[in-house]
Amino acid sequence: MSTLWLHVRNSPIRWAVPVFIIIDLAVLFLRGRYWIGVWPETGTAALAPAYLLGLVGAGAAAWAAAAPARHGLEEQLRAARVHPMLSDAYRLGATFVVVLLPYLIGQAVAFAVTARTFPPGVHIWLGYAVMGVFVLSTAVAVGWACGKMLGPVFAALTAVLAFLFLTTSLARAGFVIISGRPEVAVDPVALALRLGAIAVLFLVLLWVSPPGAQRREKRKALALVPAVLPLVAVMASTSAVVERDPPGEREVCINGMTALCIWPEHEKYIPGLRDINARIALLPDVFDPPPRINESGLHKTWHAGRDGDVVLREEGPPFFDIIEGSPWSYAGSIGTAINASTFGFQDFRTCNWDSLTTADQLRLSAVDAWLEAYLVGDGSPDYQTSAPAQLQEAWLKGRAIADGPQAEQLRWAEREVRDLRGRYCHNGR
Amino acid sequence: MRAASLRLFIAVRPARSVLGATGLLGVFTAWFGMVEAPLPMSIDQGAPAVPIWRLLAMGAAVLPVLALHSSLVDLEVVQTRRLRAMGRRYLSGLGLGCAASYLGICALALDPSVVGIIARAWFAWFGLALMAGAALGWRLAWTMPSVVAVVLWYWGYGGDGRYRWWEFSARPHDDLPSLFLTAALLVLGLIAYWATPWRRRRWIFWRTGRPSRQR
Repeated sequence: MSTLWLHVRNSPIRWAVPVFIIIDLAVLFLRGRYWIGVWPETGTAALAPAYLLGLVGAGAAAWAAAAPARHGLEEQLRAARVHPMLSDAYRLGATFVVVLLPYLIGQAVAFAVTARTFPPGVHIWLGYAVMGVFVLSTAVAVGWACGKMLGPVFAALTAVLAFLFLTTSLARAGFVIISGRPEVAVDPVALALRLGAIAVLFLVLLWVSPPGAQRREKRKALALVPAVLPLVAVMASTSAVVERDPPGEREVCINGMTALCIWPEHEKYIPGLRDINARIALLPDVFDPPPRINESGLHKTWHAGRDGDVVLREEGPPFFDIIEGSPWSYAGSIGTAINASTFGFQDFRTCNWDSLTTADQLRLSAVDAWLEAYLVGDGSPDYQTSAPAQLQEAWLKGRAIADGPQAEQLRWAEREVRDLRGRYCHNGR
Repeated sequence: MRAASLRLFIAVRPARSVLGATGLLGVFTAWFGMVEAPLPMSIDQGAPAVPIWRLLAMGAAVLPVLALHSSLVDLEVVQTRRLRAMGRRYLSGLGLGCAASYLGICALALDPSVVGIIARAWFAWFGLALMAGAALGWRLAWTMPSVVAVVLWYWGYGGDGRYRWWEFSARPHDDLPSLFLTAALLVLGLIAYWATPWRRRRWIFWRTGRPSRQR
């Protein structure tokens, strides 16, 4: 241990540690803070710096790997009493520590920030945190291989570009994880296989000595090709992030006129949803909210897809997503669900919405926008839109009404719903 | 005589590998440049993926600065005016040669507006690489560009399909702030290259009022 510590203190990239820590914490905190208080989001928020640190870290690892060649110490190391593989292992270990330490500090800080409320689902955070270790291990492996194979001049830049290339090409295989929805989690088996495969790669990397004078040893580098194969096979055949089973009885429901049910990991949003539920209760009788609205993923079942594959499909009551903690994201979907059942868009026996005129379509949109803004409470939408100008105008009209006194708003909404339903449905409420 | 000494000068520097690597990167950019890398960004919702020509342009611009490294670097610390002049000629020749060949190859396959952005970004990255190289040694010229690249890619997108004014690697090719920023970075890089230890010493003495040369 003290030998490793000695190598860490003398690592040629030790000066990178403070810079990496600054980058990591900046990436974690100079962005939206919605991840605080939700474990899966905390894990992915602190995982994001791993990809960026991996980029610079690959270069740093290459610089560290090429250090003996740069200082012309290869022969001395080879003739030393300590086996060259062992001394190389210490240098690789020190490099690993230097690259990994800032990331782990970032994850620890993120953990501490969310641990203040300690919501359920801490194991999902752990999955993402270990996933970051795999990402940085890949970066170190790429950097170390470049540093050993190429000369000290080009190794680092090549490693940076190679890690980028790897990130791009592996993105579809689930290498890049950006959002932590509660309905997915890291698969521990797939992650363990990945870590095992990268450990094998590290061992082979150590065995492949730097291209020295002997031609016999250069041939050893070919061993890297079969060593990479298990990693490629694991990444191609398993997916790191998998769908979780629905929470069943653990789901959290806010009861009222409409039950709003969410994943237990999202308990942070209960107060916001309770406010929305209270506002739903104040809606005039002419509104007919569905008895239950779910967060997405609560009622999913496997179905046989068209091509023979198995797909997950949302079932049962209408659902909403909580995107970046924005109340507009879920209030919008909840409002849409309430309007769909109020106006009976699916009720083909009593209503005929096929004959909807453009003017009435815009009135409907105004009601939609009003209901969304009314449910959120205050403020203006935090999303951008590229909808046609006419539609945006209708939305603005609806939102303007939401700024007025509540009694007046509700009277306006009641009038609009009665009038529109009266035009297109037999039994006007 | 001059050509022979220039040849000697180049002999200890990786000029040929750099030209080869630039060509390779050019082909790679032309071929796969429009492939997108889903890097994380500070704005999750509606964040665009990063096309990899933006990443490769950085690599291509750092290469000629890396080529300033010489295997006789320890001896060249005490360089003479002639060696220094040759270094200038080498850097400008190799830099322009690399830029021309890289952009030329890119122009064969990519849209002219994209090539315009690559060309602008190339000079900005080159300036940054010169700064890092002058401060840390030419072999570490990649450090500052890659750290700045991380900053640009993560925080550069301002939402609503726009990039922040300082995102020189992504703003449209006819964008003025990015052009000024690029010019500033290039000038700063050239100043860093020009500010050799002896010149820095002269500056310091000039400011403190002591004689500029000690005998």
